[in-house]
Amino acid sequence: MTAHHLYVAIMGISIVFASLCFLAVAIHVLPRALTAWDNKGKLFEKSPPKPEAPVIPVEKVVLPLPLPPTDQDMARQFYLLAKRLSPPFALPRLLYLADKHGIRNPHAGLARLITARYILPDQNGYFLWNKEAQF
Amino acid sequence: MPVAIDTISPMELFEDLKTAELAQIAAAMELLHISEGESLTYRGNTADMFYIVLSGMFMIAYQNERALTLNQKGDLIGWSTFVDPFRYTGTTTALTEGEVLAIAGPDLMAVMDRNPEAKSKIMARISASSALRQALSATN
Repeated sequence: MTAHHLYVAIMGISIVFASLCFLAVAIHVLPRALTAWDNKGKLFEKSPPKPEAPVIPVEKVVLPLPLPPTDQDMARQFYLLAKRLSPPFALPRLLYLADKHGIRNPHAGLARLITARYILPDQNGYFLWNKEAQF
Repeated sequence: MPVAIDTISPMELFEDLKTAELAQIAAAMELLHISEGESLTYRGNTADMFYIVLSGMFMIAYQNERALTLNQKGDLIGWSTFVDPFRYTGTTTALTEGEVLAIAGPDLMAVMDRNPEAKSKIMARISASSALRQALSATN
């Protein structure tokens, strides 16, 4: 094969390869070009205002009230029982568990935790342990 | 223990009643001292007594273990006394010791029947205060 033939072969392959690359790019760009052509009238229109970023409501933080030292142990016991229940939990069930596990005066203890905002209602009949009142 | 008219006259529930009607209601009421853990109502039982909280915290447990707590003076317990089928929809348990005013539903209705205008306002207030509880008791 002479140098001329080799040169022709290389050129041919290059042309074919370049054509294929051009075709690939054209196929990739074609949809955008068609869209731009369809919307050519809106080219100089003011772009629509971007929608405001959705306001993500901040979880309301409810600070618990201080408990007397004599109630700390009782509160921790209730906390451990509440952890066993999937949140939100049923208040009667927590009371039942407290009584079953021997917490003294469970009704009054529960009342003090509710008053101190350690336990909060979810407004749907169930309750949650206040995240701000961890042990 | 008898109830003084001064105990109920400031209550919003009875603000449309005349003095004579308040006196009749007070006379039909009883002041009850409730101990911690004591139950006032049982779900499913005949609703014959209506209670008004004076002090203490009470938990009302409904079906599916939904519950709410009441601890404000003037909170009402036993609205089913006025609503068919006249059966308590929740079990009321005292979380703390407290005091409530108790009156038989028919006695309260008898007084209110003499003053239809006041009756409709009182029933509207009872209905409004128990709206959440009606929702909880109806939820499956």
